[in-house]
Amino acid sequence: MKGLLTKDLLTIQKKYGLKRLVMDIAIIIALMIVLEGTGAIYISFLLIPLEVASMVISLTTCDEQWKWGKYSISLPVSKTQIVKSRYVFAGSMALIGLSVALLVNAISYFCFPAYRFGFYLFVAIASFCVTLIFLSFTLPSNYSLGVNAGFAAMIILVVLLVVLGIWSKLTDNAIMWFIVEHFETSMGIAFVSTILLFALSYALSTTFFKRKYV
Amino acid sequence: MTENILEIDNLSKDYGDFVLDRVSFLLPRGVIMGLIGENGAGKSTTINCILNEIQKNSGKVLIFGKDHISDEIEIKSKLGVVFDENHFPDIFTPMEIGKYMSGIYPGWEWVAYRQFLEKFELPKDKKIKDFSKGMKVKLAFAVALSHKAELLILDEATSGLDPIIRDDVLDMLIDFVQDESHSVLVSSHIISDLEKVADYITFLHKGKVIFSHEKDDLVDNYGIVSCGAAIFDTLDKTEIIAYRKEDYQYKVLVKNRNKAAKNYPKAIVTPATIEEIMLFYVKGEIQ
Repeated sequence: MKGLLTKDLLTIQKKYGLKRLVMDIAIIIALMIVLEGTGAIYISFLLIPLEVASMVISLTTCDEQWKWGKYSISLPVSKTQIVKSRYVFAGSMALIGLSVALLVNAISYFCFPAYRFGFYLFVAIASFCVTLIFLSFTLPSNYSLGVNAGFAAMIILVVLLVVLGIWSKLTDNAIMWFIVEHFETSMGIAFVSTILLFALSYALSTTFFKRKYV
Repeated sequence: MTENILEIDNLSKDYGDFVLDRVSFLLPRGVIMGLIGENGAGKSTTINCILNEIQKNSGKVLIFGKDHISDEIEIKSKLGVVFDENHFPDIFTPMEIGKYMSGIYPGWEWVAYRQFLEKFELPKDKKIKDFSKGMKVKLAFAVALSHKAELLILDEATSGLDPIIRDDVLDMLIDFVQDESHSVLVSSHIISDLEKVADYITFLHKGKVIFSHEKDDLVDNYGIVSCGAAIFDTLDKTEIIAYRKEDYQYKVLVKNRNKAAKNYPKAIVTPATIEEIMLFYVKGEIQ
């Protein structure tokens, strides 16, 4: 699995590179300056999950272009390991996204202290969960129907997320009553559900990948 | 160490419109076997079943004496595979390919890999997308030969290459089997190449093995009898494998050309090439 992870890491390094990293940092800084306190929310809920999901989609695009799937099966790695390594890589990217979200939210708290610190911490953790949810849908879509399906799944999730945000704002968070009233319980449920969803997604992807080569 | 590096017994795969039908052959150690047949004969399906890229319906595949599914990882660590197209990330350089391959193959040898890159005159730090097709094939060989592989499987790996690169590839195969524990299974359309290097020929036609013989046996014994209708009528039909009727004569493929020359002195008997044997089976009328 070490070799497969190295391949994915090298691919992302080459596809994204320093330019993309500088661009991402510039976008984050711009959003934080322009939107002040709310900037961290947009970065955490949209920018980071989208960036991580698009990295994983980009890997799938490269694999399809190079017909890597066919070659990888001739290597001394099992089909399960091939899918597992992609999930480990995606999970690692999500953890890096969490670190970025924590950093951005901590800076936001000190520069634009609109809310309590706990709120910023919650946003960072929620960002990690949203990233995992994005990955949970895009990865099996990639394995079952190809890279376009993964991209479509990502777009649908973005639209749903935006609609949810607008709806919540229009109803003054009325649709979030359960979360507001049972904050800690709902956060626990959300976190565990997200992890379970990610695990289910892995099982589905493995099945789809194995079915591809029957 | 088992005598046969690869044993295929009654391998079947049913696609509905195509059936790989009870394919059986043995590949001994220290030899090169050519897998020949027309497009759609089942060569790639056979190789894909061996590699477990597709699931067989029935049959047995033993590589190094072990089942190709239950001991898949162990087997594949001693297997080198070269396909007809590049499967390496084309934004990588050969050194970057080596970097991740060293994490995949437990027996990866950096020294051997660097030597192969030098021998094949492949630039270590140039992106693969800037390589010619011949260079890409050579890189695939460098990877396939740098992890102590004992069996090389080539699926149309030489198609589209110029004669000089093909000749280099054939030399590599001959070098590889100098170690008598090594073997090569090579599927190719270019029969003339196989005639140069193969020790065994396995011929597939419409999903079935027509024959799997030593090449020398085919080349030394098979022959083509050219004759008119009168002699054709007198031929012993049990000796005829296939025949083709041409404008003014019959051409008949026989298994024993010396016997045919002796029995029918008025007919012209010539040795049959592998390509001619294949053409007779595919296009001729079978007795």
